[in-house]
Amino acid sequence: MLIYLQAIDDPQDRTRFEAMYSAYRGLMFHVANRVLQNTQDAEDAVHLAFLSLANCRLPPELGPQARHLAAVTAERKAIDLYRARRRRPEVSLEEEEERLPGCAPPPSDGTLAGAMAALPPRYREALLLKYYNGYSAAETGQLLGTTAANVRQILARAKRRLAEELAERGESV
Amino acid sequence: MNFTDEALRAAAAEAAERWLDTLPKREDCGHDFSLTFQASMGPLLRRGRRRRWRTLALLAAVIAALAALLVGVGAERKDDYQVYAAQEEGFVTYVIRPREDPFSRLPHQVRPGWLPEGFVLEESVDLDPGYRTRYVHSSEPKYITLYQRCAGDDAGTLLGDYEIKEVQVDGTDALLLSEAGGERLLLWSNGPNVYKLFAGGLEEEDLLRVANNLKW
Repeated sequence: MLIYLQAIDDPQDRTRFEAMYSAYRGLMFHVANRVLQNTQDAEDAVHLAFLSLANCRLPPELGPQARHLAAVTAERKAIDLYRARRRRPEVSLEEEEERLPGCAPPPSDGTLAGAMAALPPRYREALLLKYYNGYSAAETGQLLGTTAANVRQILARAKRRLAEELAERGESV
Repeated sequence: MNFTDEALRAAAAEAAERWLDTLPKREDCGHDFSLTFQASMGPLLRRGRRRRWRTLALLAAVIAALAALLVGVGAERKDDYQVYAAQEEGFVTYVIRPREDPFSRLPHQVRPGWLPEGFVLEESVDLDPGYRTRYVHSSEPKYITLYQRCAGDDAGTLLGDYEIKEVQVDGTDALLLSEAGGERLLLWSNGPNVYKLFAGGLEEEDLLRVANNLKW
């Protein structure tokens, strides 16, 4: 944790970080707790999420993008904690994550936006951090706890999955 | 079907909005965070202490070189871990580091063979690898949380004016961090196991008695 403290040495970053902490820690706890179903574990996930946020480029002001970033980071840390504590190697990451409590996606309506929102968490997080929050693969990897190369793979798979979903419904983009 | 970046970017805002709509509103997300959480977040939030943060970051980078200046436990023995604590104005930092390669085996879980009157088991959680067991007092705001683990480095920062004291747990050197408000943390290692015993509202004597009576 000590290393992360360097990341918010800049006063502007620190102000943004504190604003996100004040505004979204409750939401982040809720997101983590609906996955983990355990108060203390959820607090651990929120703490880990803030450690990631302390090391990333934060939105300049509070708003939908900041809210999305906070919620996604908490969700990812909670899922990673959940997986670490309940190892099921025979099930793929995406399959398992789709079944997690609290990860039920909103219903898809056949539009591209609907299909994106309904993707498994890992795919949705990578796509939206890139195309909504504007993060690079390296920054996304830092937030999701993986490498830039892996983020590119996830993005490619996510796009394939989107194409399959929309093709099933006969949609085109 | 191929998606252009433009199409994905155009759809992303609505997709994010749809997902965020599945989450509750801010006013419905109330939660009283624990003291442990608040303490762990404290160093990331406090203003006006930039010089100290640099000091801490430097401490992390050159911990091995500084070890001699810190309070070391078990320096004369070939233990599996080294446990250090460093005190600064307003907070204390601890580091637990394996001497050689990290361990990866799950330790045998221990349980307190003695607890002060009124404490009951609240939860026991498997960590990766290790355990967390929490006891709370049935009528007073007191708690005891035992972390038992067996892998890699561990470090933490506790806000407050802590006193660092070297004590003995079951014949092993240990560090006791005590805060004026009543929060205490006891750190020690025994073979491949690292123990962290957090307590609130517990006297030093009782905390040591809990630690000295852990049973396999």
